[in-house]
This record gives sequence, structure tokens and C-alpha cells, in this order.
Amino acid sequence: MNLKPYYFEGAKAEFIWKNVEIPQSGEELAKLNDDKDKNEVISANDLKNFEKKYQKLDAAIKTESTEHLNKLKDLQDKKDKLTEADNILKEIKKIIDSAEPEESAQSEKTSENSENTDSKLNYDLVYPNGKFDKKAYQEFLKELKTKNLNLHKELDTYDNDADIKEYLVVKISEQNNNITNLNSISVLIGYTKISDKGELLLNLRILANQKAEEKLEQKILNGLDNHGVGKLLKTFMGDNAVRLVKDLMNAPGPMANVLKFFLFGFEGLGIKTDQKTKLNKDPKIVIKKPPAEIANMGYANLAFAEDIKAPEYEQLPQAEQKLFQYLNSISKDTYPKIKEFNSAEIEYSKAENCQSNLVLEFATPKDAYLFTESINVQEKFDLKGFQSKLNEIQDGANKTENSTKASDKNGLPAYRFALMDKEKPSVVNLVLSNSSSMESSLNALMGKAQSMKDQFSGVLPQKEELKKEESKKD
Amino acid sequence: MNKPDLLKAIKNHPQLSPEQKAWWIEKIPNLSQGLQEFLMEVLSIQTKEDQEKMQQKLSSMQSDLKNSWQKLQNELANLYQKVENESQNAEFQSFLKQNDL
Repeated sequence: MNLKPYYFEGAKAEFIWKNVEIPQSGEELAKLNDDKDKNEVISANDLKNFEKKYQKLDAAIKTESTEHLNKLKDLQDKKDKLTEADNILKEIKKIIDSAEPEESAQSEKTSENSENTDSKLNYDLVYPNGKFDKKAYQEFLKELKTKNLNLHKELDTYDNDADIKEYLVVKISEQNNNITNLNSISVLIGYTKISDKGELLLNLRILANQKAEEKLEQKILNGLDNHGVGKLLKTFMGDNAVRLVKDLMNAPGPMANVLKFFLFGFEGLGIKTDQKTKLNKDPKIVIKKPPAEIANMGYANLAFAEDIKAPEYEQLPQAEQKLFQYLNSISKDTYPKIKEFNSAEIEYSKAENCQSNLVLEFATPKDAYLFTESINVQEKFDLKGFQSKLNEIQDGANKTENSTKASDKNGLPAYRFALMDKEKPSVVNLVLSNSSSMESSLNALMGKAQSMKDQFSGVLPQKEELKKEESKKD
Repeated sequence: MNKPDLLKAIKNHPQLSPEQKAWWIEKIPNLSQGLQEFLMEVLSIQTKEDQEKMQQKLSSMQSDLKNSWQKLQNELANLYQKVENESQNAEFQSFLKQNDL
């Protein structure tokens, strides 16, 4: 103890404080904290002071009752809890401060409308005025690589494949024409603007595949290192063992299962390796063919139905050329297939009102859905406005020029829009029309109107339907 | 609202860095129900009004925390006082005894 009794001249005993600078009341104690940052609830200084006092008190009551020791321990626990609560509130504050709901929505809007954007990740920059810009393409790829690395980091916070899959499925399938969700994805992976949604989604899918591939490779490596059969395979397969085993596991026939069983036991039989095409895909290539090649070849990756002759690419209107470049960039294997194509190549130059129609078949309804949504979002197509206009015309009313103008005023851009076929959801009807030809477009669609009207009630196949379709495929 | 929902909201939140997400994923299982609900509200901020409301709620919680911290400091000081008093008494009694007073 630092407290010493002194006895003065035989009178009464007097006690004085020696070497102890602890205030005698809570109020005085609190005053010691005046120097702390006013914005902080519990500052580093607070904690330092507490610790100092705690240590002194701990030393002081070592020989005292266990009641005091328990009380002191209780105070220390309380301090830990309060510090933890303070840390949590500080982190919550960061989230609140970083949320900029209105400003961010506005800036995204501005970014959407602006031709000039700081982001190099803008596919439009690769094709200024329809011409390929090599430097812009290189910058595009460079920025894409950075964003991909960030996304990898993001995906690393997920514990398993199921979580990653859920994350991607939620992000991809719950968009329902909601631009806010799209922007959330773009922000999440660091894009400042969605210039090409198809590309963004393709990118996400490739990253998911990369993840799956990395995990499978790790499993195979473990199998080769730890199992007798694996060690034997490694001796004669050498450095190529992982690739060779992966190929063998993907091969048709019983060999794959035998290998899985020997390498991983019964659990191995459940390993899914039937995504050979996906896993063998070069993960670095996001755009299937270099843009230059796509530009030169026109229909490079696209398959036309046998009874359709591809129109002369160079003579197509620029809007259509750009559309084909986009279709090329999102094509996978032989999809999308062009089932019907009536080009406006002639009418565009001659007539005021004209349109082109394409019927595209995608590999899965989901792809068709993503494409449809992408086209409608890009063109800011007002589906509800279109539906009401269609109803209006179907009821036989207001087919006058005035009503067309009125609908134009109501913001009914008719440049491009896409409609999924209800009977066959992997098929998309795509219409390109010049802005003054809305009525003509609608009239041209009248033949299909009934079935299209039905589509509007459900607009797009629901998630359940997509799942069913997917499971049928499986 | 349940923990999986909250975890999903954290994982999908666009403004959080991977490090922040990892930090929250570790903390969430031990958060009280009240804090979990508050966090969920914070993650769902849509408008300026939401943001201001959450700021007010946070200030109120921080003020409560400040009071609790103050209380803890008082308790620590009081305990010190008590120990000192008892110690003084014991030493004084011993002094009296030693000196036959």
C-alpha cells in the first residue's frame, strides 16, 4: 500500500496520500477524461486510464477480500463489453456515413446519361462511332482485370460453392428491370457504370467458374498427394497430372467414376466435373473474339438459321452493326442462333418509318432473360408504357397521329426492345425501330400482339420457371 | 429478420470493403437481437431520411454507452475508495494495537 500513517507529536494519527494520484470520487475521476476527443465515446486515452487504474487497484487488493477481487473482475468484464459495443457502433457509424442514397442515385443517373465517363470500362469507348479503338480496348481489358481481382477478393469472403452460387444467382436473377440492383452489382465489383450488362454478367459467370475450377484443382492436388493411386498417377503423369486427371474425370464412361472413387473415396463420386466446357474455358478472355476481329468479320460468332442468308454486314445500318457486335461478344458456343431476320437496311435510307425484326434463340431461358433485360435496360424501354399503348391500339381506339405523339411525349422510346416468347422462353423477339416509327412498329406487331399481350402479364418467366427449365436440362 | 438474412445483407452490401465484411461476419453471431435489428436497418438505408434517422438512433445509443462508461468509472473509483478505507482502518487498528493505544 502507498498509504502511510503518520503520527504527529503524540496527538492524533493522520493519514496522507503518498505516491498515489487517484481521485477520491467518480466525479473527479471523470474530469481526468476532459482531454479526450469529444467525438469519441470511449477514446484510447479512456482505455489507457482505465487500465492504469485497474492495475493499481488490482495490486492494492491482492491481500484483500475475494469480494473485492470479484468486483474488480466484474468491472473489467464490463469494460470489455463496453469497448466492444463502442467498436461495433463505430463500424455502424462508418456504414451510415458512407451511405449516400440520394447523391449516389443522382450521380449514377448522370453517369448513365453522360457520354463522357472517367471509367475506361466502357465498351462504347472501344467502338467510338462504330470504329475499333485498340488503345481503348487495351485500357478496357486492363481495368477489367483490376475489377476482376476485386471481385475475387469479394468472393473469397464466401465459405463454399453454394454461397457463391447463391450470391451470383441472387444478383443475376433478381434484377427485374430494376436499375438500382444493377448498379449495386456494378458498384460491388467496382464498375462505375454499366455500359454493357451482358458483359458484366458474363464476367460474373466466368469468375464463378474460375472459383469452381480452383476448388476442383485443389481437390485433385490433394488426391494426388495423399492417396496411393494418386501418388502412382503422379509418378508417370508428372507436372501435367492435375490437367490429365481433370480431363479423365470429365471423360464419358466408367473411367471417370473409377478415378473419382480411387482418388477421393465414396465422397468423390459426388464431385461434379461435368462442366468440362466451362472449366476448360480460358478465364482471362471475357470477350469471345477480339473486337477488331468481330468488327471485321461481322457475324463472327453468330449462327444463322439455314433458311436465312446473312445480309451484307457492311451495308447494315450502324445501329444494327453495333447490335451484332454486341451479340458476338455475348455468344457462347453456337448461341444465340438467329432464327429470323428482317433487316431495315434498305428502308432505313428510304423511308421515314421502318424497323428490323430479329428472332434469336438462346441456349437457356435464363440467357434469353438476361439478354432481354439488357436490351430493354440499355434502351430504357418503358415496358409499362408500351403495354398500355398496345392495349389502347388493340381496343381500336386512338390510332391517330396525335396519340402517337402523346405517347412519345410520355417517354416511349421505340429504338430497340426485346420480348421473350411465352411458348418458348429461350426465344427472344427483338425489334429495332427508328424513333418516329412507333405506330408503324406497333402495327407491325399486331399479328403477334395477342401472344405478346399475354407476355406482358407475366412480362418475363419467373424464377421458378427458369429453375424448372434449368432442372429439365440437367 | 434472422442471422442468415443479416449475413446476406452484409455480404451483398456495395459500400463495404472485403475486410469490413469479414469483420462483420465474425461479429454477427455474438450481436444482441437489438443490435442485429439496428444493423439490418442501417444496411437497408435507401433515402436521406433513413440515413438521418439512423444517425439519430446511433447518437442515442452512443449517449447510452457514454453513460454506461461513466458509471463504470464511478464504480471503479468507488471500489478504490472502499478498498482504501478498509485498508486505512486495518492499518490504523494494527498501529493502535502495536502501540497499546
